[in-house]
Amino acid sequence: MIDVTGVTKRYKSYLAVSDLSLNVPQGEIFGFLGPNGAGKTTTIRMLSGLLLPTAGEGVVGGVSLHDRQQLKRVIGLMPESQGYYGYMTPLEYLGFFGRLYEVPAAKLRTRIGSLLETVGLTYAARRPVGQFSRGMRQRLGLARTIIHEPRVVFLDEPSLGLDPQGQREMQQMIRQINTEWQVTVFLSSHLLGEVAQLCHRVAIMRQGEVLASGQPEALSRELGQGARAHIDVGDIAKAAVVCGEEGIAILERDGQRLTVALGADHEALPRLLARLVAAGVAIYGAVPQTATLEEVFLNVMQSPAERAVSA
Amino acid sequence: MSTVRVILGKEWASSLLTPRGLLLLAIQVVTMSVLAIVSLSLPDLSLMGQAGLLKLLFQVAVALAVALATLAASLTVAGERDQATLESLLLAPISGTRLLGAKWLAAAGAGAVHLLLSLPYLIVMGAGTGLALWRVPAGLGLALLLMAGYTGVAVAASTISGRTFSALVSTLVVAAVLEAPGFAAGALPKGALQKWLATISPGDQVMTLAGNLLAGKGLSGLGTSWLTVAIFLAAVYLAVRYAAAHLELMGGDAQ
Repeated sequence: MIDVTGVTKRYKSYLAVSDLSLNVPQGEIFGFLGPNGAGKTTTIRMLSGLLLPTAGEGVVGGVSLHDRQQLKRVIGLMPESQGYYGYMTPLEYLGFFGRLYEVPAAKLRTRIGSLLETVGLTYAARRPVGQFSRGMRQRLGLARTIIHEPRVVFLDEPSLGLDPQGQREMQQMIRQINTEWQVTVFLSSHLLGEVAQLCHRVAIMRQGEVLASGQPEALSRELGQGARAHIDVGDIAKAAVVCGEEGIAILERDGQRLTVALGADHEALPRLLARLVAAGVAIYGAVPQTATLEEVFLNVMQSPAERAVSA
Repeated sequence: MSTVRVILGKEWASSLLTPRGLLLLAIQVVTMSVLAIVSLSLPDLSLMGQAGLLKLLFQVAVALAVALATLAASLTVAGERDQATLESLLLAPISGTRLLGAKWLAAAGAGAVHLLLSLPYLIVMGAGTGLALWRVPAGLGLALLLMAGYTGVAVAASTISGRTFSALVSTLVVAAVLEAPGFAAGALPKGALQKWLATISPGDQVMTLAGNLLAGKGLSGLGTSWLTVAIFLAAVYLAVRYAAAHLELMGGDAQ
């Protein structure tokens, strides 16, 4: 659904996005991560037809990046900071954008009704948007984004400024439009928990370049500074000796609990447990831990030199 | 064409039906009412004669309508940018030229409503002059050329300059540069310089054309005035086209 190669955006001497290549299949929720100024919004603006790339080729929703007018018909974008016409009601607001996208009148009426239901704003359909809370506005923005049945939607920080309940509702709506409306979702967010829960795959960007991409679990394994495990044992001193014999580093001791570093070796935990049992150490529990997306992100954000120092 | 109609409808609603739009219309009506009452009641002014008063009131009505409509037009794109609504508009499959064209048309249309509101006052004022009354709306029709020009300047400035305040300032600067020669000509003794200065001001030339109509004269023999107005409108059209290209290139980004 999104297949671009070598996409670059340069503003005079500033390189905002460098040689970006992405492939997002239909129906996927793709997370796009990076610190402020990484080039995420510029990338989204190029992929949605708002900006013309300086270099690069590709298609979004089957339309070339360079055919910007046509591209706008097949994508929807919810910008990071979206304004609203405060004097309009949601019915008028969605009607205005629906007509702008040339949605046939009869279809538009039913579409507005079902969208307002999806985003939970049916009860406020005739209230001026100026009276809405931030959460209600965000939900209306999401409805506006898909009013013309786009094939791909770009959501730039959709949960920004929402309270925890609002964030959860936004996540549910994103999942709903992905599954029920069969829309491919390209999600940029600083809420890494949200991205980890929602996205099938993610890419991490810094200074205009994609540094890592893949499924969150795979990234956790590969870039999360190795797996760890909590092991609750009967004799912690004896267990520590066994760990030393096995060459497994102990990260933390807390009462009867050992936290050990397992590295990238998938067999390390069963091997250690077998050695502990053989040594007569009682084991009350063993819980493998994988790195969170936040840990992966922070690890990737470090420069190679910083990473070496951390190691 | 339908997308242009959609933008036009929205712009008209925000120009005429919002509190700001209604306030600007009220300023036009109240000012015209006050001026009409003052002109008819003050003996000093009545010395000008009914035709002189009609001409004066006409000039004030046009200047006020153009100023108010230009003020509103200078907010049209910069205001959307300030309120972060511009990006959503640019995401719609409508070209920058059509978007700005619709905004220009709407701004000029709102200006026409301002002129229309002045019409009853001018007709009342013209009734005692023995003038064929069709000349009053025809004169306002000519004023629409000036309206179209200055609202176009405002739309272009609003797009290029980025923010509301700079849009307002740049529109005022353009208007001052274009109209200052006309005012200077009014203060100079008749001569080649005075004639040349008056010729290059579009406002002066539109008032000359409309003044001829209101004085019961024809519009022939005013080729220079028509030429000035035509050059002005052509330049504004090019400025709006340039602004549209700028808008598409920047993707709605502020400068």
